Amino acid sequence: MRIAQKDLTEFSRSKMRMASFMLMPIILIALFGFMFPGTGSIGHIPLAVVDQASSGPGAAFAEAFSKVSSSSGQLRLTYYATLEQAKQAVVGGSASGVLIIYPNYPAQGSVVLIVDNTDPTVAAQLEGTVDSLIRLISSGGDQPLVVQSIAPWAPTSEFEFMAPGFVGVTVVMAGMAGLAAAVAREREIGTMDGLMVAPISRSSIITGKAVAQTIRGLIQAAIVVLVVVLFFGVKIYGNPLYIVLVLLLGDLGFVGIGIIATSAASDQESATMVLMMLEFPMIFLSGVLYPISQLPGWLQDVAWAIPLSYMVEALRRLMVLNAGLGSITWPLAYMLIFAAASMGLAIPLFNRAVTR
Amino acid sequence: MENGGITAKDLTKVFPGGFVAVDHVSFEVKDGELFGLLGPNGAGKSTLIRMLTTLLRPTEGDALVGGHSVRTEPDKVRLLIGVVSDKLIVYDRLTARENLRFFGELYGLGGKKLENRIDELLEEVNLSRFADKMVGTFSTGMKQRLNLVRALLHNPKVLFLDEPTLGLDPQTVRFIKDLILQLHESGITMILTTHEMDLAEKLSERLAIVDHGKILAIGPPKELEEKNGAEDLESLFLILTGRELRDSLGNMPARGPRG
Repeated sequence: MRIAQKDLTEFSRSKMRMASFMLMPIILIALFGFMFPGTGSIGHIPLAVVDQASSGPGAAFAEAFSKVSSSSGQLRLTYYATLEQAKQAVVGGSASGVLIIYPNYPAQGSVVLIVDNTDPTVAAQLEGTVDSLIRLISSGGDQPLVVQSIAPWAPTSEFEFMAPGFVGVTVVMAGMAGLAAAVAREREIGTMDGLMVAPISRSSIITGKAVAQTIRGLIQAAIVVLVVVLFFGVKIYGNPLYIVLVLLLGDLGFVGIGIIATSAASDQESATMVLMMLEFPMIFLSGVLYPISQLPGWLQDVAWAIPLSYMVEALRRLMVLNAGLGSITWPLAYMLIFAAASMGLAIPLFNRAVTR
Repeated sequence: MENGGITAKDLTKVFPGGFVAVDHVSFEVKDGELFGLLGPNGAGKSTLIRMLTTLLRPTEGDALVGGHSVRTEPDKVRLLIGVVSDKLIVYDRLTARENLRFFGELYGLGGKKLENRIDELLEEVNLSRFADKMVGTFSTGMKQRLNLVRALLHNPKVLFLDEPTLGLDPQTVRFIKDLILQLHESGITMILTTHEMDLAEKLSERLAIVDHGKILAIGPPKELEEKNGAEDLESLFLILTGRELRDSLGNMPARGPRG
């Protein structure tokens, strides 16, 4: 009992810990509240349409489909000339599926929906919506719709969707917390002074630590990849080199955040708290567990401001959709900027924090 | 003038919040001198040492260590100095040899020359047998011996010894004392801070007593004692710095969490 009392007294005297202790549950609950705003609220699913029917019943159907989807507000249609372009739009993330309309409507198979099964929730929603809209137009008779998957295999579980995200999160958590711990340890045992009195630059101290942490992060990512592949049957289609590139950039960026937190916080514990406050919302919002496209609009904007979202997005497209570099240019560019900015800020901040 | 002398001029450190840890301190240490630095806890000794070893930037004033300014040429100063304190700068999960190799490389040493130097230094502190053992398994005394030679790897001209005997057994204290005298013979300049009056009195050629960020007295110990009518260094220390216990708050930023 005495120990409990002492612990609580100690705890109540650290403002930093108290603040995050109070804020954390509030943030988390609010987050969940906004993330799951009730069923049926999904709208405006982006759909790439390839209209192969220039005349006849097919053309009439295409026009009717366009009308009902815009009036119902459930779909947002973009038209593409070729199937290849439309598929690229899906791989590139600007559409959730492809709809092909053939001239032989309403024969069975004259309307083909290709869904992106890497995001099963959206895929199911899209399938249901398209199906109900078609029923609305073509009352009775043949059912023209056939559904296919864009992924080169039939996904077996939601986990396929999540696995790339978990790989990313592992790197991020390790990067942020691992570096903070490594710096704090050297400070606490006093060896930091030994590095500081040596004729080497301040920047080389923190760069060395960042490199070590980045390597550790990559090794951890490799372990996670191995586990999901070997034990959970997740298949990886993308080029491993690109995957390593994305992991490397993300790793560097978040190691930078770790350095910034350690440099700014007065002690190790506050640094860890600040990092935790960043980590949790990030993991929930960045599409690791729950697709970003399913979040309410404003929360999507928040999600797309988080670097981890881009990392997860790029990893998912690479690992599951076998995307080329061209399809992940934007996430990659964002991550490059993030890594450069965070390291660029972290190194001078660290130097300032250690040379007062 | 690249010798091991130290010239401090108006050296001052004001910490954020306005606490003046070191207040316009000027003094000189001659090349090859063994200089003692004494003072109660929180007097400003550590802050002074941290400024001289380039770990803290002076708020005002400057110091030349081996002829180089700690303010404008910290890298040149770092090449000339070795630092030993009660906080042991050795890694537990490296062997003794790996520790010395790592720090040697930080000073640009390497190859056969570094390996020979490591062997020689380990021999000097009777740790040759344990060269390839993890430092985590060492006793505190062994670690401090290793820590001492770690600071000597690059043949520094100036050695800072900040409480090098804190928490050590009499055998190790004796060993370190002998080592200090031996290093003194070899001509290294040494700054020694300690609370052990006996050690300071026997070792220091000259010493300074610091309190409240200022130097209260400076000179050879015997001379200072006679001048102040003290029978030994301890009574001199108490005459100059008072007998009250030092109870003040927030007075130790030199070893703060960012230290």
